[in-house]
Amino acid sequence: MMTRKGFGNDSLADDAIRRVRKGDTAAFEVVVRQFERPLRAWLAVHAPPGVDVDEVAQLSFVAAFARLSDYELGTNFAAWLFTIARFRLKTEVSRLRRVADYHVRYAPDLLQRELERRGSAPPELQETRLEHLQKCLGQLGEDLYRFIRWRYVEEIPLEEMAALSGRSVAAVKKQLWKLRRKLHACVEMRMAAEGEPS
Amino acid sequence: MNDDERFIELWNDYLEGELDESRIAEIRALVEGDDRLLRMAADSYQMHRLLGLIAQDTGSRQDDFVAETLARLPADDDRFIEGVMQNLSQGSPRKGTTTRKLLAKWPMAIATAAVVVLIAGVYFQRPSAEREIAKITGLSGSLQWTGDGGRVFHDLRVGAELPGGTIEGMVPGSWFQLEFNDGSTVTISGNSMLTFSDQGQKKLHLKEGSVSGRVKPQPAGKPMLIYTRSAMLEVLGTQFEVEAGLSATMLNVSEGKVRVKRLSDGSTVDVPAQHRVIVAADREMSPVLVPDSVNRWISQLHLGPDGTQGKWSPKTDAEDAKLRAIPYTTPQGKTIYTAAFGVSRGDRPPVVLQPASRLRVRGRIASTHKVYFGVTVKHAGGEFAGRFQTIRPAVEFQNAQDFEVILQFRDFRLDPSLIEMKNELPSAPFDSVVESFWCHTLDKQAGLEVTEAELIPTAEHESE
Repeated sequence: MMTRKGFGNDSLADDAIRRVRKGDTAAFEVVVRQFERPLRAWLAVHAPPGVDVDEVAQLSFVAAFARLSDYELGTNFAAWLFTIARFRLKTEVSRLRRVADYHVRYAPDLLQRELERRGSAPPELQETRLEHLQKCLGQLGEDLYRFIRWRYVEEIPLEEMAALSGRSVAAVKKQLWKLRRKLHACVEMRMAAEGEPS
Repeated sequence: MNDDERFIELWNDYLEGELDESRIAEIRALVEGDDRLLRMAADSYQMHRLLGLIAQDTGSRQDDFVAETLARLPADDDRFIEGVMQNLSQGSPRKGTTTRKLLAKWPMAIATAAVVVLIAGVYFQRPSAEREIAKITGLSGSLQWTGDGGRVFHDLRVGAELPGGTIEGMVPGSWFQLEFNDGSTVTISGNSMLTFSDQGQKKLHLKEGSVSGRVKPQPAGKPMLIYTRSAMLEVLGTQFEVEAGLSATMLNVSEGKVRVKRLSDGSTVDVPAQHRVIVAADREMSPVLVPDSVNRWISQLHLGPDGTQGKWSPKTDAEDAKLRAIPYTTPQGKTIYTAAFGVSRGDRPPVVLQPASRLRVRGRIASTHKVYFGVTVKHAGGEFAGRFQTIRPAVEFQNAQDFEVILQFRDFRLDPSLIEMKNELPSAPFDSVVESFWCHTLDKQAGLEVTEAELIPTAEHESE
């Protein structure tokens, strides 16, 4: 059984923070590079539709930088950062709720409750999940992977995907649904094999 | 079709952003009270988001993210630049927006090389034979300076001293402020082109765009001269703003007095403080009081492309008139696709933002992409007051769909590239005059088109 992964070397972040506090602001780049991916991954799966994940992630880093003196070296910087991110996300969701047509366009209440429930899980699980997902993607044959590539990498319209694959648009949608289910099952199976809560 | 099949069909459309209101209501009814479907929806949504993240997580995207984040850090002093410069052992550090951007965007090794090149460029490429007549006191956005017998420079920085030459703003958000040796300042903003010289008398040629100035008293018999295609202005010491078009020049005087000569017939007129005049061959040249400001503005694309930047298309039977974003590639290789509208321009009254002002933008996008919306604002006297922007996520702009967004100005933030000047600029755009409204996408031609933009002053009973 593997132990749960963290976010890399904690002392690296603490060293960088020490340098920032001494005036070497550029050292904050080390912190951003270490945590940008797990933070964006966590936000991506916990933010309801309509939230600009990169924007919230950047604002979280900026807030962390501004309040860096509050952070106690040697404790858990990742936990501190993710707490800031949770508040930032809440603020953004509150802002969106004030937008007149937000509910009509995204129906966020559909997901909100479930996403919030899942948000209580340790943030580092998303990083693990992301790694498993990449392995699961690697196991797909080209005939299936091409749908993922078209939809998410090349971002081509469904109509074009239908033409390329010789299927109907409805069949392409169904294929994407099946692929997402398949990948979800693959990731959860790997998580379970490592003893991680899913 | 059973509930599960219907749910799958609807949820796929939801993730693709293709659900209308009635079908959103239908899916809500299906999921309501069915935890199994809700979990399935959340699983699918999270997988969808993770796949999107993985697909776009290229090295350059991560670099961009890091660069954008670093550029947004509060800059309470120049420690960032100084720290790097000291690490490079390149001697005394100097402040510079361009340098900061380079450092933020590129890996350190490349940035190191860039700083060395930049310093070498500034110190060694500058012509020693020409006398410096002014220094740069502020800049942002893409700019191009042509001097030294036609050599073109992009790596400008605050504090650099310049001989005469031509400065050009390349995008609607460009801004450049120059201080002459006697303390007089001139500022260009947006797509403007200004040639300046001082051989004992300051002479400016404004080919297009706008320039504002705060001019110290000039030597007797040697006023600052500003030439446009249609007018010549004599400035003795005053605060003013000039806007030059192909066939007309608009002069707005805040303080002092400016003498204007119409080039087509040689007629002259003195424009006193708080007055403006339009100089054109086909209209009477008489100064009028600067009109009171207003809080409402609407684009009028059906009247033509005047004052816009972008590819304009007239109204047809099937479509409204529209303005399509056009690309500009920076010397660093980043491409920005922009559509922009002049707001307080020509003989229109100045448009002032209120805290509760909103901006409604209608348009269309060919492919899903996040969109930046912003305004460039100025003080009543014409001085630059900042650029403020908000970013709306890609999910609001679906493939080949019309969009309408309502933007609240309380959500607008100072453009990160101006962060070094935050103490000199207002923290919000309120009570400032809107010079231009712009929107853009980055790095990808998303086919952004605007059909209408409207600044709406919120009625009292609506304001919070």
